[in-house]
Amino acid sequence: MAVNLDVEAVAEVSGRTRFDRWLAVLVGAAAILAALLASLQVDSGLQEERALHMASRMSVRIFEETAGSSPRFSFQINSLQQATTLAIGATAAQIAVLEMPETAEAIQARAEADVRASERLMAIGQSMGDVPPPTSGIDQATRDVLASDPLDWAGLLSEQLRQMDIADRFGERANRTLFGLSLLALGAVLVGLAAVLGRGVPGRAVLAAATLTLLAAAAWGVAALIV
Amino acid sequence: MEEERPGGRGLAVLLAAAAVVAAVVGARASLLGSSASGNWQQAVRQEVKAAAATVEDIRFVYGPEAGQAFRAVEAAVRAEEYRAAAEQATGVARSVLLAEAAAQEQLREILASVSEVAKDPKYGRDDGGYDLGLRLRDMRDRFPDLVALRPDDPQAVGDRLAKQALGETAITIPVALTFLFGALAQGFHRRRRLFLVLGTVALAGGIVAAAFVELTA
Repeated sequence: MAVNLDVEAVAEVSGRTRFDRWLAVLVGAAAILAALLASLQVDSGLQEERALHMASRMSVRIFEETAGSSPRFSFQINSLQQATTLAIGATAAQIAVLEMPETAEAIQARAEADVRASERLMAIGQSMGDVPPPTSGIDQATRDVLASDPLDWAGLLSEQLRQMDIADRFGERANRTLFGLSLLALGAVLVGLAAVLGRGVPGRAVLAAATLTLLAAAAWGVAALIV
Repeated sequence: MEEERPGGRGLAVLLAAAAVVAAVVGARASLLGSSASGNWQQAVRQEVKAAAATVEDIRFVYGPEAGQAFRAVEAAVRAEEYRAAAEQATGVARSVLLAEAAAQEQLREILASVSEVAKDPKYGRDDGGYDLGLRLRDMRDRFPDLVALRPDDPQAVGDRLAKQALGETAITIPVALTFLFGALAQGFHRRRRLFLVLGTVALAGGIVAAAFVELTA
């Protein structure tokens, strides 16, 4: 009873006991820690999400450029094959006609015409399959797709992998921050419990546990930053 | 009846004000973050739509249409070369070349009649080929909304909103300082006034920072 009276007297003069002061410090520290962890969590979450979206966009663009550039290239190859086939047929006819002098003149003339046609067709096919110039009126994005080559795709793939790495890093940071926030919530509950239990042994024990929990929450916040 | 402590009402008002600011800032940051996410998703959707439309138009023009048009070109060029050769030939050779030229011209007409590119004179070029770029532009212009898609625009808006959301969230730090000083004012009566002043300054700083973030966004 005498001790209780002393404590009350001290509290009256100084305002609070050490228990109450520590309780106040922990409440304030928990508020600060909550704000810091929340900011870190929001930043990590948004960065992760952004990187995932960018990686998705890169996937689409890789598809777009590989699928969008190949028809033009295929057309050029096919037209070249078509023209070459004509020339090969003409050459074959010119060779075969050596054994047929009676039809040589007609077949020879036709074969020569085919060779000339083949040369013209190669040039026409090549130019028809060229990337349209800026003056064609086609939007730049479509022209870029038409003109893209494996080097561009490698660049996009590299950027996609970089975005995935960013997403992984910030995802891990967000997870650690979330764990820190969970510990913080537990610590805040323990602080409240200590306040309810008061200055006795159980209250002090819970306050000590709350202190350790809040320290652990802060440690996880720091751990999140070093990912 | 319990006697009211000096500064007790001020502390209560300060903490209540800090709670209100924290709630408003938190809600605003949450909304901004959600909007940022929405814009990023919009960028992905636009990327998919634009890519699908582009690839389909290119595939159609440089696939079936270009192939068919080139077969018409081949027939026309061969017919021209056979006729040119016939002018230099005589007898059976001339007859054969003229017959081949006529056959190729007929083939060209048949192919051109079913080819959107070959039957439209505006796609014709001086070298006998066709302007596939012009054809692709016409195909693209059928759906100007798809051509006008710019995924980078919503992406940029999302980036700006995310930055603003982070700024708003960071404002909870001075607000938390207000809570810290409020709690210290409760625990350390002798310095209550000092902590109350510090808490008020922190809260005012938070409000000014929130206004700055809103106005500079």
